[in-house]
Amino acid sequence: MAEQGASESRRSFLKAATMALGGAVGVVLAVPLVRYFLFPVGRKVVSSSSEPVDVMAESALVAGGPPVQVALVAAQQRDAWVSREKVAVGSAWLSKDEAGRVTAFSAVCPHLGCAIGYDDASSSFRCPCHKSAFGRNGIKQAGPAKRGMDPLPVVVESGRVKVTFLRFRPDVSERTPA
Amino acid sequence: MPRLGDWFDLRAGHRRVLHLALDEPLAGGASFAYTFGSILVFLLLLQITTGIFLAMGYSASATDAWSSVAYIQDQVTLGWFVRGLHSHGASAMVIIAGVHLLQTAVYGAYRKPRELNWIVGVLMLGLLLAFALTGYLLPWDQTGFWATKVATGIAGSSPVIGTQLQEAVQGGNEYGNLTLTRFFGLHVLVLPGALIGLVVVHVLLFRKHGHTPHWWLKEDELRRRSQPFWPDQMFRDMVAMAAVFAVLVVVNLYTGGVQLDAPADPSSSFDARPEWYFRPLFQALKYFTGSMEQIVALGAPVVIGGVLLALPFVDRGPSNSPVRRWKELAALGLLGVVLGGLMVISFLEDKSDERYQKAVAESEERAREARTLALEHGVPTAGGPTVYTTARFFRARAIWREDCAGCHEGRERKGPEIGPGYNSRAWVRDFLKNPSDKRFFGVTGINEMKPVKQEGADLDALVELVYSQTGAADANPALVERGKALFDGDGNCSNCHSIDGKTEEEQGPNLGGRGSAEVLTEFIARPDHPRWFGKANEMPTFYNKYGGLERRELAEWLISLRGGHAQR
Repeated sequence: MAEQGASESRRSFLKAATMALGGAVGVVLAVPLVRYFLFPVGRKVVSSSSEPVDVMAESALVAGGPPVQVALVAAQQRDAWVSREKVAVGSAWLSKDEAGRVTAFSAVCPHLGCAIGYDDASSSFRCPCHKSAFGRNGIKQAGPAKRGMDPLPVVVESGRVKVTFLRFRPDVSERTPA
Repeated sequence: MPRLGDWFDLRAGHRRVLHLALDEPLAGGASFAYTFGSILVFLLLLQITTGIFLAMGYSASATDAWSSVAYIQDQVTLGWFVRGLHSHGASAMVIIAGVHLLQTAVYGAYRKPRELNWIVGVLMLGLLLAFALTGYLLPWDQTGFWATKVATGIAGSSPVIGTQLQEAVQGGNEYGNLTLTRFFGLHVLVLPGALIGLVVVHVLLFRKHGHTPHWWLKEDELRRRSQPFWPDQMFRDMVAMAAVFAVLVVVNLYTGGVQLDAPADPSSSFDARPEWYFRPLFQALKYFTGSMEQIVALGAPVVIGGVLLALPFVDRGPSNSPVRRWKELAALGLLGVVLGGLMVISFLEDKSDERYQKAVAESEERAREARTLALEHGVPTAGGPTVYTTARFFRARAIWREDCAGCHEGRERKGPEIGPGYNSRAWVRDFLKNPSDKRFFGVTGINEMKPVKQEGADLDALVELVYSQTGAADANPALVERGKALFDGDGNCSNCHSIDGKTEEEQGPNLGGRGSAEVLTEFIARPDHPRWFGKANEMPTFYNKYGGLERRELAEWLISLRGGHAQR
């Protein structure tokens, strides 16, 4: 009986030691793997050159006319391991008011990031995904979006319209850079 | 806790499964000799885990594969560690599989009625090598690319269906995207599926027949010393796994992970070596030529596999004792000695081969350069070797080699020598003292300039004046002023030269801004401009051939030479 008791405690020890060893191996392996996996978090893995993009001749915009969608092409982009040139990073809706002032709105919906289109019939911007609607001035008219369309910095230099592409956090009422 | 266990057991019935899996009694007791199978299962899990994480950062395309692996290796947190574990883990699997095979053979565990399980084991060994072969190519680096070309070339030398076989394996007539997607699919989907299936069969067959106990114990002794698998054997298994893992981690830290060579470049010549476990075959092929080579390359694996598969059918005596089975074990041992011997010879030959060692050092240097550039600039979309084009002055150096070096470098020069130290103070001093030297205008028809007579501080001042024209930030303004006075005065320079950058003199070039980026850019375009050499000019003009940006880059590269070393 005594021998059986000793054998019993020996086996309990072996069980505990086995699990402890297994746990230790698991932790030593898990730590680097988790850190590896979380590498992209909080890192600009994709970064594009941020200078203003030449999109069109100012004269091609009609004062008071319907907005025009233009592609925003970054001169340079680093996407993880690749270095690219001339990459479309987004698009903007350009319009010129009666006074000749040019404005640009990001086509990224401030709700969840779908691409906003323009509806000629109602003269308003419409997001196809969740039916958010915005006026020509970008102000929200209907739908789940929590803020109006995001304006983009725009300048006119020697007859050319130049737009700077910016990203903002989606689905928040305050416009904050992303 | 017990209540939760009961609740779960009522629904899942896990206790019965655990009981079936773990409570098997082991005749003769637990032993470290039985741990190798468990170590292999552990290593397989390690390969699967690290492999999954590597796959999350890998891109199987001919343009992106190398760059993505370089990214894992040099930029992702601990990426080098995960990749190193995966690569060293593969080596560990081959080693432990070899030991497992030996243990099985020595214990006679392949003998009747366990022949099927031995066959499954040999098949799994083949799969391991297929894993190694397909994995070696995935980084698309020089070593993997060229070594794997040899392997698919061997497949291509098969009789009758060789060409078709090779095209099927490599996905077409040439190495490219399909080669990688195929190898990747095989490596991460087909082979793991097949291996896991065979492992299941292997373990089930093992459980059906039980382990093969120590041959030196009698029946009653075996029964008396019996111990349950859990925890007695499992503890030993776990100790062995932890030990192997610890060794792997230490080796990985010590080696800094595994090497990533320069990106695969089909236009280069590369002296590739296969992974160490293919070295015996690699070495054997050196001894044969012509059709014998093909026969050995294709036949050796068949013979080795055949010998292994035949063992349990030859070894049919009544006893498991190795002494009584010495013939079979000797045959296996001989095979091991031949393979091991070939491997050792192969490594020794490389070690004493100076030409090969030099090539290795060069390829390591090339790899370092490529990885540094990939880290700093990213890899252009064309991928692979185009990473070198992101080097500073890459274009300038190409232009230099194509259009400048012929006249400005080496013995056959037709113009002043340009190299490290060009336009430095020392260079200017040497020039002023001996402008018609062979280093300078001595090799041209422009040889009317007389050496500067000034010495000491006056010479320093003239040197500083010319040096300052390059735009160097460290020019001494007081010396430059003194130089200017000499230029117009006792130096007699202004008889032939101006230094305002505008005046067009008959006799000599205008020295204003000489050696600066702006003037060099212009000068390279029109050296025959009256501001410079005018009618006396012998250098070709380049305004037609190179645009301003290219000439500017060349100019800046020339300026970088001033520091005394060529920018690589």
